[in-house]
Amino acid sequence: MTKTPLAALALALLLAGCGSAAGSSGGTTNTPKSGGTLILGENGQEPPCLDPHGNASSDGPVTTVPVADSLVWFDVDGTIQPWLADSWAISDDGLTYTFKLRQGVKFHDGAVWNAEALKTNFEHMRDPATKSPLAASYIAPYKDAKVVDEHTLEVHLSSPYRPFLDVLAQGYLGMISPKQIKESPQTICEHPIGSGPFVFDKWTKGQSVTYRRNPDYNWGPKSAKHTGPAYLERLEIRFLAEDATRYNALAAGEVHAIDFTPPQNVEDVKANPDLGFLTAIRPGHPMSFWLNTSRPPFDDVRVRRALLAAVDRDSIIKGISFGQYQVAQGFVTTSTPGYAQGLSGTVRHDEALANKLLDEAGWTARDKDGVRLKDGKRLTAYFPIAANFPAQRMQIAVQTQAAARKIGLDIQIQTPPEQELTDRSVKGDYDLTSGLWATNTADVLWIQYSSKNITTPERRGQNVARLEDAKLDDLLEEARSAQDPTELYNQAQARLLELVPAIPFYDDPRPVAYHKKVRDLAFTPAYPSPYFYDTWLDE
Amino acid sequence: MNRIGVWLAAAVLAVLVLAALAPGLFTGQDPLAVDSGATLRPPSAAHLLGTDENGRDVLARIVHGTRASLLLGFGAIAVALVFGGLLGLAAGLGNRLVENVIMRLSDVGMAFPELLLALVVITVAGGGTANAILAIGVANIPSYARLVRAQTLAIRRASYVEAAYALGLPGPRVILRHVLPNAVKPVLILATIGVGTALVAGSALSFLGLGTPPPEPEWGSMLSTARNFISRAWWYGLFPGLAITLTVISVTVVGRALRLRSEGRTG
Amino acid sequence: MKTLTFIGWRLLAGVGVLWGAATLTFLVVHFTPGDPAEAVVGGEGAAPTPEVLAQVRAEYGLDRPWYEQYAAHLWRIAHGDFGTSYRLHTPVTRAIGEQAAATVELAVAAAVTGLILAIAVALATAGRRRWRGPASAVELVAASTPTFWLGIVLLTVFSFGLRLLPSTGGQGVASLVLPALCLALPIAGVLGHVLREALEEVLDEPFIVSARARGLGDTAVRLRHALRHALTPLVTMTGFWVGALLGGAVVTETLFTRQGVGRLLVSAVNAKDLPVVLGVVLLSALVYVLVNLLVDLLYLVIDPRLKEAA
Repeated sequence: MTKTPLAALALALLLAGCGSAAGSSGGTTNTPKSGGTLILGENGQEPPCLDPHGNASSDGPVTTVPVADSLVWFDVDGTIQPWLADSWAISDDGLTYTFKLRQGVKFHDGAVWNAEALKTNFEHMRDPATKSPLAASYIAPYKDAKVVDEHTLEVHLSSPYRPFLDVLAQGYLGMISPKQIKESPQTICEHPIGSGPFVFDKWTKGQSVTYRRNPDYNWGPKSAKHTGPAYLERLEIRFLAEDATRYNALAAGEVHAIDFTPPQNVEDVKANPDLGFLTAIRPGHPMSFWLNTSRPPFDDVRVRRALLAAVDRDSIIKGISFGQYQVAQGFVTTSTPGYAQGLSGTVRHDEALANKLLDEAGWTARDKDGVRLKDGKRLTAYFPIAANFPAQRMQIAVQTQAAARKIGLDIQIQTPPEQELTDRSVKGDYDLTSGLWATNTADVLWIQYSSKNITTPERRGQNVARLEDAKLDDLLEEARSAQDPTELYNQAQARLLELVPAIPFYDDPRPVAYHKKVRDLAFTPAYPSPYFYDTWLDE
Repeated sequence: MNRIGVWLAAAVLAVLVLAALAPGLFTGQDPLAVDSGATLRPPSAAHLLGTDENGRDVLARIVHGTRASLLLGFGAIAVALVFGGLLGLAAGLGNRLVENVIMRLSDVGMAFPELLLALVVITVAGGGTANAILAIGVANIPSYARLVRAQTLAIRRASYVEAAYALGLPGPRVILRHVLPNAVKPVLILATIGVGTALVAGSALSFLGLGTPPPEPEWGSMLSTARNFISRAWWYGLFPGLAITLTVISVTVVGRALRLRSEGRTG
Repeated sequence: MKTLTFIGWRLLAGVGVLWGAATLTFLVVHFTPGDPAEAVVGGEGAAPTPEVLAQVRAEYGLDRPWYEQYAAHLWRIAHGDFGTSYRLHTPVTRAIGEQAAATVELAVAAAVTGLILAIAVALATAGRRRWRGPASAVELVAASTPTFWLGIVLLTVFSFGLRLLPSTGGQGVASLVLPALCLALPIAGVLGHVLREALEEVLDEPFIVSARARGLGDTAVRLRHALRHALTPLVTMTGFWVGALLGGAVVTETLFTRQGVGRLLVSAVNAKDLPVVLGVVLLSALVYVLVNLLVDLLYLVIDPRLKEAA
């Protein structure tokens, strides 16, 4: 079991502290009532496909988890608990997982949940025809599976992969009806059939997804507050891309709750006695600007450290989030199991140090604009971005650019045509690139920094910093097969703070605001997104 | 048209052109100077029109954004004029085949709404100021080609041109001396009005995140960001929009006045 | 008979335009370099495996000679098949079909609102010195205000401020009011200006003078005689307002988070979803051709002199 007591505790406190507000405050009664329609205003990341295995959108899980249950449940304390699997055993070499499946589970089309169904789902994730942008790579070590009996499946991996259970808890790997996968796989995107507490009803593209209650449901996760069918009769997720509009829809009572509450409105939400607020930090890699370590100027670790020291992250993040976001302390967020507590506070804003580091690196001369020179070459870094670069990230980019300029580093933000952008990202023709990676395991460090994950023409990888460090590679590889990877992840994070392959900015939160008549709204902790099984309307 | 109105519009236009050429005359502040401690501040003595989400001075950004915004309007029309003009001239002077090919092509071009055709160009060529100018310009080529052709045909049949030919003057010289100048003038006047719509279309592209890239200031992209902060910063969403509207009004008023004057004289 | 020939020619010209448009879109696809795989399964947050990438390249790959592809392209379009969306993995026609109703609703509402406003203001103010100036100024401001800014202002005042109307789409007639107004006002500004100038010209015509001499009241003259003739330039400007409606829908739908073809187009441009972009553009060309055909027929009704000319 991948579990680290400290981080698990932190996550538990965080989620419990915020979650309890939803249960007890306001309203007239604490006895759940059945019925009603809940409308959630979601941001604009509408998935192009509602097959859990067929999308990588940040709104994937919120739209598919109502329909599709997962094999296991990742709990707020970082432990893995039974859900559609009653129990499991892992062989000593870490290569064989034997799942005992829950009995009596039925999909919405009547198909039965059994070992064959699980196997069919694994095959579907992996089938190139699914065009899976995410699930396939999360189960990449999956080799094959053997049906032992009706409710037992033996899964074989090609290499030890401890995070297997963690990722299986994410909504992207939810279980779809084997009947639908076999008979009409082309319909899954538009009309997914699962075994979840809600039955998919209708998807009005560009507008909303609606669901109705599954009256037969009786197989919720163990940590749920109740058993049996969901309380809500209907559920509607409405896509409201504009931040100002989404918040206004909540304030005007057009929707019951909104996801991704704009940071500029959080103060208003907290000050409003009729509104509640629920947030969780997404486990995984913080929102960062990655530095291309494979070419000048960032192939020199001193230049990377100089930029990190030059940027006043506290002030930038406070400004762009109106004081709402937590500045990243390292290369995984504080809610990630395996987060190295002891390293927090290591990164400091220190302009003098930044200048000193650049002097040491030989960038001593300055041109007439104040940009540093070495051997007649300007200290320039290129930051190509897409046309639809998120506005908030643009703010960070612009303020980072200003901070870098102060120490004589010229960051040039470019907007090349999309095709050129893709080519350049494949070839590694950039100095900065941005993003985050949300996943419930510190294996995110392997995804982002293993030298195996540097993009080649054949293989797309996430090591966009193009970092090649033998020591780090060993640590991360070992952590994938270790019984208890805690110490290995601690060392890996310490090593990354020396290597500085990125400027980590903030731990990305999932802030949800709701009217207080909405009770027991919760998150799926595996990939924090609103979860409606226990939710009811007090009206 | 009210004379005072026309002069007022011309004055606004002159100020805008001056702001585009020498923005330093109107503001002492740096439009790119970030102040993460003073974001979204309301108008004050230090910042007459307040600050934006990066603590930059909104007035400075509007003044410095004049260049990019005017460039989108004037640049796009220039592209349309040059290419549309050449095609129109060729259609008006060439033989039936040339004329037919060019006119049928312009029929096809006219079938696409301006903004949609511009979006196709951007999908292929990418965003940015230059591509936005190109995109809006290309979308306007067909209508200018038609306009110039109609003018050319009319002039070709005019008595003074026929007289010039009759006098045995060489063809190219007739075209350069007589056809071109007379065809261009009315088209130029109409183009003045076109600058307004092109400017709006260009800033619409920026508004959709496909025009002038940040951090360079441009009115459309300022509004694009401002709309996220409407509830907290009314000044940020108000002033860039006023700037666009005022510019378009001035351009239109001056253009209409020019047209009336030229019609009054020739007609 | 002459009328029939005229319609026949117009039809043929329309088909020609569509053929040109289809060719143009083919050229765009053909000369856009690169690998569609990134658009299909790439993007932030995605980690496609090599097998998935290979599958996508095989499915969307272009490996036949250009003339075969061109013929296939025309053949498919003639059969109403616009290809498969990179991003949505569904046929383009279906992706557009799902969004079309919302856009038509918005465009029709805006067109009707814009026309009524333009006609009402023009009828009330044409030739009346005292009203002319203010009306002309209002029209100028309306025509010069960019849709996206007007939308922001309308939202701030009526939705966020006064809470009179919803700020989002999909909630019945109430949610149609602001977007339709936002789209209609700039168009009404232009049309109103043109219409008033036309009306003023018509009002000076001898037949109006003789109508007045017969003792007809001013309102009756304007409504029964002048309006019909003054409408001709509005019809001539069909191309303009169809384009303005479609282009404006792109911005309006985005701003008011409405369902619709315009928003589909913006998300397709952002996701490099070329088949959808071209599908929408082809469709708009089709709309343009059909509307113009209708207009040509309308001319025959409005202005019988054209019948003889045709």
